[in-house]
Amino acid sequence: MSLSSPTEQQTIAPAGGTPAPPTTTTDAAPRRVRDWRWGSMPVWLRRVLVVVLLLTGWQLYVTVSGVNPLLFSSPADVGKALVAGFQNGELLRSTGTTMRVLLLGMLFGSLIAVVLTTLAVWTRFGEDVLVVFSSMLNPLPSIAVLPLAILWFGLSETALVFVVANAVIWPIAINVNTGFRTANRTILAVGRNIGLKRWRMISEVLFPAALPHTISGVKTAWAFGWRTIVASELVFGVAGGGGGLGYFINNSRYYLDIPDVFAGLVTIAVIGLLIDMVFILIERRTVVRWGMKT
Amino acid sequence: MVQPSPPRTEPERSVPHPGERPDTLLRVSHASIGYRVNGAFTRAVADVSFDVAAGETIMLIGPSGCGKSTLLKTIAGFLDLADGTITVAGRRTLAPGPDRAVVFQEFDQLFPWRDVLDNVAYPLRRNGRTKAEAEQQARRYLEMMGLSRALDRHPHQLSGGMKQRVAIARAFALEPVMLLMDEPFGALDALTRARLQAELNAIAKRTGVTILFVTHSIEEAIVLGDRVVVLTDPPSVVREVVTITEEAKVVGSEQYRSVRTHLGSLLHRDGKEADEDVAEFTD
Repeated sequence: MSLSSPTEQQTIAPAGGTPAPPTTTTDAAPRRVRDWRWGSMPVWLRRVLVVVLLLTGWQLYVTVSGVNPLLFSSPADVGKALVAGFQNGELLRSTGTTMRVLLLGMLFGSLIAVVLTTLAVWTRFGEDVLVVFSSMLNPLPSIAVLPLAILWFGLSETALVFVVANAVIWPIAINVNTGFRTANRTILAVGRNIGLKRWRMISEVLFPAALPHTISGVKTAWAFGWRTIVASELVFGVAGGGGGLGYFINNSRYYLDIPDVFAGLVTIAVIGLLIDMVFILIERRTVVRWGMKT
Repeated sequence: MVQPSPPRTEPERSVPHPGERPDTLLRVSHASIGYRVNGAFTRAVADVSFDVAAGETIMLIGPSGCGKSTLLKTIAGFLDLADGTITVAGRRTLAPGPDRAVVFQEFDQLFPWRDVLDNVAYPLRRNGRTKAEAEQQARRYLEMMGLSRALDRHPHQLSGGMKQRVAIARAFALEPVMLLMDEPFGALDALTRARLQAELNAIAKRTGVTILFVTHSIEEAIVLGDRVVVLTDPPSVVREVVTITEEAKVVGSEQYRSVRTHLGSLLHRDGKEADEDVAEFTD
């Protein structure tokens, strides 16, 4: 769903009310300039208000209850910790490290997924390999591979990239493969009719036809990758390795710097939001624009 | 409903009877085609033979399931013959190729991720034209189909009729040896269909391309075709090849009505009664 569509729906049918009367009558009342009902506000405003509500409730709870600051920080303190963390570079560096590992893992993972799915559509053997491997390895939480990764690569970034790649290969491969299998038969026939050979059929017909599935696969992969990288960094933190947001959170807890723990969590949440918006933008420019989004 | 095609000015193209002709382009000779359903072999086309001369528009018509579409797909190279031979310009049609451009019935035969211009230009680029040449040619054929103002639209923004126009422009732009049309107007409303039939007649006349057109509409067969090949129920053979004269193309004329009745009787000889008024609109 694009961000804008709920507004359009809301303006047509007022939330909770009876359906609007047909607007064909000439003596219909002029549209009210200000409508303060929740549903008639723009989406961004509604979402911002929810965040404000959350922050207010949070701050009120901390102020009124007098909870131990070693257990729970107020949004004001977290805000200060965020600013300080980005100013002195510690939080920024941790975020950078996490993002670098995540992106590298995504890159290798998607490359392997593309090769696997291409082979699967090319040969029967490749298809069998993909089916067996994905059904075996997809249900495996990739964080479970971390001990092996540490054994093979040591407490290094390579180990983390390996684990993240493991997490993202299967959601991408399975979705791209579904996209290939469900590609429109007529389009494929047209591709053959205009003389496309196998390689161009895959790269210029099958891949674009599978794009809606591919995007949702990459979305899932991001979510898996995020969870895996933060969890791995937490384990690394415990094991004495360095760097990354998970490590930052664990280390802050170690030094009882609770606002920093929250600051780390907020950073993760905000990055997740930003990535979501990137996906929405990509979809708007591709599958939504092409009318391929179901 | 159906508009008469403009009178043809060039020499008469229709041929009296298939036989040994020097300008034979498509030769279907004792074609037999079947397919497997749950392991059992079902014969759709038993023994079909006919010739198509260069520049001719030939209509393939027959009862539902008679294998007319199957035959077209085999000429296109998507299906294999069980027996017999099919040649286009003397070469057997063993695989699909742009020399036999196909227009399908389905509206989703366009690439959704390419705009209208690129849907027509892209196949040309992949067949040896430069980008500039391809786009120039695509523009020319899209203009012939009245699509000059829709060049930058994506297929999902087009109506069904416009989508079929793009598909027809794409097929003509390839400048194929022959054009294969598989009920391209079958899913259109009557008005749009009549308009597209007239446009197809115009562009076919202008380019002189040989066309094999599968339809289940008798009216469409008369309006578009030089000759009509009527198939029987499956496993099908050729029941008769009917030549359509220019006079017969004038809707409502004496000849039009007699050809329509004749084709109707050929189609419904297998027991089904023809309801002509229904057949007029619903085929």
